[in-house]
Amino acid sequence: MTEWVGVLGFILSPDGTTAVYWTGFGEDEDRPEAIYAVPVAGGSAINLTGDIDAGLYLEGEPGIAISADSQWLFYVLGDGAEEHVLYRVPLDGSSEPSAKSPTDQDCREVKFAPMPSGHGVVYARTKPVLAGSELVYVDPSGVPLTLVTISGVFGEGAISPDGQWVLYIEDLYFSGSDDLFAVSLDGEAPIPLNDSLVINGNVVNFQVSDDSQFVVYKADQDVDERFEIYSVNLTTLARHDLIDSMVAGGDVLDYQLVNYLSYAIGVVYRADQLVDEKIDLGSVTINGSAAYHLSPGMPDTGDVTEFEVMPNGTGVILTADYMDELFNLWLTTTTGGEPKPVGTIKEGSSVADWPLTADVVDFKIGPNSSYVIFMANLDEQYVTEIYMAGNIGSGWFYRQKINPPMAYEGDVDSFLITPNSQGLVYRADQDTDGVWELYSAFYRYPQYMPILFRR
Amino acid sequence: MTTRQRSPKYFWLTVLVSASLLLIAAAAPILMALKISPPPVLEGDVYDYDINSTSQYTVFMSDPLIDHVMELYSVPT
Repeated sequence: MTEWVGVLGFILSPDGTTAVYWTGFGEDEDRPEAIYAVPVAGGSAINLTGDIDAGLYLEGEPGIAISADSQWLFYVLGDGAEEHVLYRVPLDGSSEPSAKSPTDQDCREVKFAPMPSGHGVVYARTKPVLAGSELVYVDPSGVPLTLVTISGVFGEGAISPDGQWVLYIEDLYFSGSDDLFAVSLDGEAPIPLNDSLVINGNVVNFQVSDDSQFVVYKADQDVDERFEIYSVNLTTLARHDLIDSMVAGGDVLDYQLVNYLSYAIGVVYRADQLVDEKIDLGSVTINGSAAYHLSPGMPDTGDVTEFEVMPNGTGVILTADYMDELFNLWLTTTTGGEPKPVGTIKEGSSVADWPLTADVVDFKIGPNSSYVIFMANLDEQYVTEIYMAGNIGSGWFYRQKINPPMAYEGDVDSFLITPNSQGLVYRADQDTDGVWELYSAFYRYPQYMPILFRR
Repeated sequence: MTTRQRSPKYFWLTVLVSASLLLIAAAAPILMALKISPPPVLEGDVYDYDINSTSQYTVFMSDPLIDHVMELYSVPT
């Protein structure tokens, strides 16, 4: 492995003003010598931690994070064995780091999540067998409150967007099942969210709706090893089985909640629900009252390989091989209908020209739901380039190539869309093969704009 | 009934504004890609990168000066 020197990693503050980075030396990018904060717009870096003891690593999930109000940094240092401590330090460096979890030699893992507002934090501290693992809320002033203690380990966890609930999967040492619970931050008793599980059944993951009203979880609740999705209302605790029927051997693979105008309205999911091993796309209302097949007409040889629900909740972009092994993009609504091809016509042309050798490598929907950016080998078989298709005048059928001609054997490697939907940044060896550089693409007016309107 | 005569300067201003608006209509925005990372040394690369929440800056790790000596940069997006 190549050894790096200097900056090993970084994160950005939620308000976009500050970068936090850690430095070190060697093969392990999680072994920091010190952690710094620096203004994104440029300026002097502040050493937040001083020298960190050798042998300590950024560990756990996420290991390092900035509070929602962008005022504090949280990080976990661990020795890879039984010492793991959560620290908090102000980003302006006005005080030393302080431990927010116990500093004893009795902790195998600390996972944490900053509160969705302010600078409180919730952490799960996993102790050795029989010692009792803890879920703890630390309020903005630094006062801890133990929410739950269990004889087991905490699995996946999350805080509801309204900050009212901590949701977690618990794996007890003396139980064959993993159950989902919600606990409020006032320390009241946890509430079980899933129905009773079949023997050996488990809740494997969950998602919380934007309005904090619903939790959708995936579990083999009714039949061992048959994974379905279920919803539960956090207020009424009404539960709904969202999969009405499933072919023998079928499973839900993945799913995404649909939020419309900030309200949870349904779930889109991939499953071999109709034909075993044929992955279709379906949707269902959040209470299970109506279900839709979102990939009708796909032959039994086809599969939906990826999907993403538009942020506005009205549509879904998916990749599927309606023609065997030819994976391209499709658009459908969250309530069904025949999917429409996306980006199959080159801008300026009038006929579809998606080559039989071309596949979509990756795609992301713009935050304003009006376009999709995708990487594909459309113009040359062995060159991955970046394209846009969207509801911008010419319809979703048309695509526009974003990158200029590439150097010989150049490729686009990855991209990010700006949060304001106005552009994107991509990484490519566009100018020199094997030299990876950054490029941004924004809508810009051509040079023959009247000078009257130039800034 | 009286008729108000417009000054010639208003006429030419109107012509200029109209022409400009026509040019705007003709000059539909185009998507243009620009390199934003600094020219690297031999074998230098951009590694991790992220866009800040205001979309104004891209922050990235790169070794543009000495190969494998990683530094942090920001650039207006």
